[in-house]
Amino acid sequence: MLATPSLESTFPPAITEAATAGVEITLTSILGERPTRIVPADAPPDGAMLAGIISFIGEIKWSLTLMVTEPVGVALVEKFCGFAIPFDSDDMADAVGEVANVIAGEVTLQLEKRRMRGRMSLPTVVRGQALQLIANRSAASHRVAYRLSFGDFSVRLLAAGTSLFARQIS
Amino acid sequence: MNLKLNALVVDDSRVMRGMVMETLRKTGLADFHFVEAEDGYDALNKMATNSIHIAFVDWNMPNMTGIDFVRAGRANALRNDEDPVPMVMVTSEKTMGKIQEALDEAGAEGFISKPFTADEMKRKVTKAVEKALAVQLRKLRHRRDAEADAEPKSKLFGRLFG
Repeated sequence: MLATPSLESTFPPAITEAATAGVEITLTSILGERPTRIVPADAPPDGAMLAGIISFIGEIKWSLTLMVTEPVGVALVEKFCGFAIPFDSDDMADAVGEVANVIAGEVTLQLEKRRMRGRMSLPTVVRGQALQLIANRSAASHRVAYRLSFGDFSVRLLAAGTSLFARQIS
Repeated sequence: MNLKLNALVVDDSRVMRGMVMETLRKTGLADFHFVEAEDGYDALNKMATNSIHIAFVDWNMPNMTGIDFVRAGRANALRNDEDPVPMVMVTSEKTMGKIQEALDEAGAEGFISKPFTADEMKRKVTKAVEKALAVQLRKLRHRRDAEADAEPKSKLFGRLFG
């Protein structure tokens, strides 16, 4: 009997490469520190979280979601903006959306370098406790986790044509 | 002569508008007075109701994109026989196609990709700021000359009819 390929492995590898390069180049530029890839945890982190989501239209429709906890969000945004912003403020959601937007700009460039297209959307930001993105069972997706000196964060890539929704674990 | 530049900062992100304004202040290129706009339509309205000397414009915004605003702003200036306001794209876009579209097709004066440092901002916007200052200086000199021309006539009128 043939094994069914895992959906993680069905997400287009070239897009995964472009997306992870975009995340790593952008955050290294903002933070002066290169994020290190780690094995993604099975359960979402506890506590308040923000997710910045950008969609791309190119060879396929897909989205990139940047998910940060409070300590990572606060430190990342302070480096990005040059001033501190409280995590529960509207400005913090705005800033996380902007970070996702800047990452998306670099991803678009990385796609172009790989001879692919990717027109990006405006960012959408979701706020909640222990956020977990639940993809449709048939959705090709890929999750990458990173470690920085001030905490861990993750990025989720998800092919469109499927539903995406955030579940808040209480 | 202390020239103040009225700078329009167009971005749908309030935080990013703040970052652009703070970084421009740090460059020390001019004495900026900032006017903020949230999208292209808002920017066109602010251009119509304020004397704007230079604009710093995001690309991806709701309602009207930055590149459409740049095109509309230049078209308005040409229609009114005015100097186009120098516009600098400040955007997360960074592909060659987008840079060419902004600089060669739409007529933007500069292009800076986010994220940026004060040094990068200074290097990439100096030409546009100098152009805006030159236009301002020319207008001020023109106004001063016009006032100087008008002064003797008023004195003459004062002597004849005063």
